[in-house]
Amino acid sequence: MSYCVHCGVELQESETKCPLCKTEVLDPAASKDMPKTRAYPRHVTRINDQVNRRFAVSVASVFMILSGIICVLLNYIYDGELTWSRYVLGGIALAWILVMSPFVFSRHAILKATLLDGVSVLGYLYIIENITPQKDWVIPLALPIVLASALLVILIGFASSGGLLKGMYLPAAILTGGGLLAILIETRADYYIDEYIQLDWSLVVAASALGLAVIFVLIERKKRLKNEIKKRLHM
Amino acid sequence: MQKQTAEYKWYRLDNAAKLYPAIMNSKWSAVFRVWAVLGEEVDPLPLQQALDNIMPRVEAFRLRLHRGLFWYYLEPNPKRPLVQEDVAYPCTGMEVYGNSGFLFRVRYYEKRIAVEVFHAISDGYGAMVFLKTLVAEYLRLRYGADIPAENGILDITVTPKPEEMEDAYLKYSRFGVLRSRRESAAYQIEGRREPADMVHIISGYIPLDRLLAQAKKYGLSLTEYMVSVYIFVLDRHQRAHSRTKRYKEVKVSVPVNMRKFYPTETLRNFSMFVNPGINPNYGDFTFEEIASQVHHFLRSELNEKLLNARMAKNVSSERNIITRVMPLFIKKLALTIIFYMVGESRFTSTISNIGKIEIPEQMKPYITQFGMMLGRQRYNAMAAAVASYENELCMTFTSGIGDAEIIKDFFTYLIKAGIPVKIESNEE
Repeated sequence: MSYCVHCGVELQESETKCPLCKTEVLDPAASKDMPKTRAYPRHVTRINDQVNRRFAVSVASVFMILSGIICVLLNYIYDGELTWSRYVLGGIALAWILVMSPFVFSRHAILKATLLDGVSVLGYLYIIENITPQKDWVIPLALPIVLASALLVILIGFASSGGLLKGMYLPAAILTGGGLLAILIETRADYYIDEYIQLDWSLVVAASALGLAVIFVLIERKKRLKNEIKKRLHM
Repeated sequence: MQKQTAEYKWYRLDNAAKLYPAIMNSKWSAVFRVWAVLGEEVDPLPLQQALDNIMPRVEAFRLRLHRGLFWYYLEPNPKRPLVQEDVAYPCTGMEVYGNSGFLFRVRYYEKRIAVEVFHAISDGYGAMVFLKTLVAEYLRLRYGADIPAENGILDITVTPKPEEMEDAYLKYSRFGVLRSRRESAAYQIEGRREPADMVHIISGYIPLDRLLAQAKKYGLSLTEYMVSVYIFVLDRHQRAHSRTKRYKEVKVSVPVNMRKFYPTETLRNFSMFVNPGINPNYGDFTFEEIASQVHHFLRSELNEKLLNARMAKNVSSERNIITRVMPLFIKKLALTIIFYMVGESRFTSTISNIGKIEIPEQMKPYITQFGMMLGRQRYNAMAAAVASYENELCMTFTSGIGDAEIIKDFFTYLIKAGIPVKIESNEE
């Protein structure tokens, strides 16, 4: 056995240099004829040089930030003040909050994250209201819709985490809620525009959503089909 | 446990496993390796037969990964895994959708049989059970040895137990009060990173009794002593190389096998991590002071209640309804970003000690060594894994940088303490 004269460690026979300090191994007593078995083979496998998806995601994130910065600069250079770039910045900030909010809160995450998202959406709409000529639509129009959406998310979230909406009943509840929300949106929009409510498109949406909800409920009751779908869509 | 019949069988990933497919990419995945060195050169034919024989028993490894809309999931894999010749850079290039879909590899070289495992299916304990079962069957086929199914060797004549597939994190978490995961950032070892398909491996073989005696002098357990030496060396390294006098905390991550606290038979992941360390800004810590910090930290933190509170915190994150309804591609992006920000940046390096490997007496004449190594870390420059067998402790460093100064300082510290070390590497 050889020792490294620098580190003092004993070295395997196959080591020609100390792996720790790269000092060459000089052992006059070692036999030069005996083949020395390496600890690992020489065969190397290479990783295929594919597009790194994480790199692509990182690039996309950087583009988002850069887009925001460039928009601000262009807006300022050509208009002397920030006008349209506020839409872009608000949109980027809103997207970021929507993605990250579930990870910020530990306790009562559904309630807090949804409230944060709702406030963020209202904030962004308020910015748009301030920029655009049309005023006074956030409170009468956007606010009830956002509140109703947030309430729907919170109710379904609590019902699901409380075990009331299991399996396919959850998407059925989401679709039903979505259909009712469509009716609310059209109701508020009609009232805001001319204070006359006549439901048309929302009934189509609600009927389609309700139809799908019924299908999900039926699937929930059919075990084999449910299992195939469940493993692909499990949450 | 999931209730399902054979034809509907599929499995959710356990709590720890959910992270790994989300943060893997084409060039990196969380892989580790366990190995056994036999007294004679390995014959691949009986090894392949042994693998075929044990596969029906090891359900936790007979799986393939699929993407769902919201989460990855696991399904039984009916294909046949093949043993492979070993390579110069182990644990690199694990293709989770290649390799016939299997999330492990069995490799052989000279007298060594190694099993490399993607962390999505198991941890060090589960992998070692697989390895011991495989080697036991190989010895039965090759030498006619009569190896009993004990000391972590599975009985391949019986059907797999459902308990071996349970998500123990979910089963044993108590959700009363959750414990925060917040930690400060730690010092990161600098160095030019090698290409993703290359890794430097340096193993040190140390007499266990000498090491235990040295640890006892300081009133430390073996793990506490190894961690203290590592922190001492890392602290010195930061002081020597830091461009400023404002140092970062030096912390070493220590995986904890939660099976010692709960009566589970799971072969899937069931580990937590604690990060003992020091803050060099408080002053120049002597080795004795570091040892005291590590000793008291581990004595305090390795408590079932504290670990359970942190475990419950991890599980509650995945049960959050908003997390659950988020599409997988957004989860992947979010988890990648979160892991980058608060994953490995919370500790400088890792020491994973799988402990003393016990095998039946009938197997001992055929085995000379057991070992374990971690694959390249995603961001940390290096990590270490420790396994002991009989009176030999094998500590293997895996490094993504060419500079071995820290590893040299670690082993020479032991040499100066009068503990002999024998070194082996995959260097040319």
